Amino acid sequence: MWCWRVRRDLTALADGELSPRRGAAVRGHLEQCSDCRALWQETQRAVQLQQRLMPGAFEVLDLAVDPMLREVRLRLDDDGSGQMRRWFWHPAVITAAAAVGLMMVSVLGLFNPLLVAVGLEEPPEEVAQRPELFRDYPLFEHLEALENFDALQSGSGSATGAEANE
Amino acid sequence: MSGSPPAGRNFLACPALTGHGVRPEEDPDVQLMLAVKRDDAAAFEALFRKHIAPVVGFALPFVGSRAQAEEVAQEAFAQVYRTRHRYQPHAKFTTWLYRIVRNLCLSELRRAENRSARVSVSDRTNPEENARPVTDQQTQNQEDALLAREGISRMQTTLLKLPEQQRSALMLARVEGLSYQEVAQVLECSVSAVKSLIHRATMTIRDELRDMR
Repeated sequence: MWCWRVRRDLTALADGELSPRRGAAVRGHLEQCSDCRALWQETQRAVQLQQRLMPGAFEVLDLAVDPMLREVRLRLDDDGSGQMRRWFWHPAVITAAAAVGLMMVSVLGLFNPLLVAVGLEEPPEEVAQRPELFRDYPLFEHLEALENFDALQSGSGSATGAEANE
Repeated sequence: MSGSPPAGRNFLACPALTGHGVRPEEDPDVQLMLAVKRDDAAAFEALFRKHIAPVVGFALPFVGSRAQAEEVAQEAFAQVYRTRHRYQPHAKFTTWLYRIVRNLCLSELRRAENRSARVSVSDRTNPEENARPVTDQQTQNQEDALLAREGISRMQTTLLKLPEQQRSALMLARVEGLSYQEVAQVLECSVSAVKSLIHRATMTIRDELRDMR
């Protein structure tokens, strides 16, 4: 067996990471080759030194574990609220919310005075009976007059919007 | 030792161990992680308390300062929790954890390089702050303790000089106790590559610390 092939396996042998078959072959060579055997002893010492010193090299002492854990939990909470914010501002969600809002307004009949005012819907029967009460009003006064139709109707035929408001 | 390469980029689904490493079902951390997957906050806390210090220690030589290492470790655990529902117990928990930590460290390193803010090796860590005597001080005289401290300090300096992959492989194997196959899973390379990385790192440290025994 070539020495260079054995030498590159020495660290793995010291770490116990060679397969039994390969380990046996390397050990067999070490028994016969004094140069490789010397290198093997040196490698073993190097590995032992590392195992002894390395754990202390970057060991962290006095770690404030509880505050760190709290910080991680805060981050995860922020993730949750952040996801909620992102979810809320999704275009599909905004469109759906707008559609539901419009449907609610429509079902509750809140659009009706507006539709009457702009002429898209027939006015109530009462308005049809006294159209002159509303004819000259601009849009917003027209809406107000509709709300006060009873007062207008019970007043004189020449009642104005200002009188209706009173 | 199996020569099969680890799974590709999918770090959530590592192949089951075939070497001498601990099997996933025998790993208590895997059981804790499965509990985390079921939204068990106590299990997450247990994993955090067990692994936070080694994770900070692993990140320290990458990022250079204790504060940054703690930051990376916290983010790693936050990622563990965020991705808990996709976790598959195909390997030891630590192989998964350290892959997350290493990726975060490399990202941090890239950011630091972009800022061109790399500090000198001696400034990156404070040996006095992090080093400790390996053996029990009560049974050693002061001279031994000082020698041990010096040895740790020199080891630290030598480790910082190693290329990133060699240092990662060596620390995972020697400090975290991972098998070569598990190290390969963390580093996303083949077992033979890990063997070569650890061998070269070991030879470099041997040459640097030749006078120490």
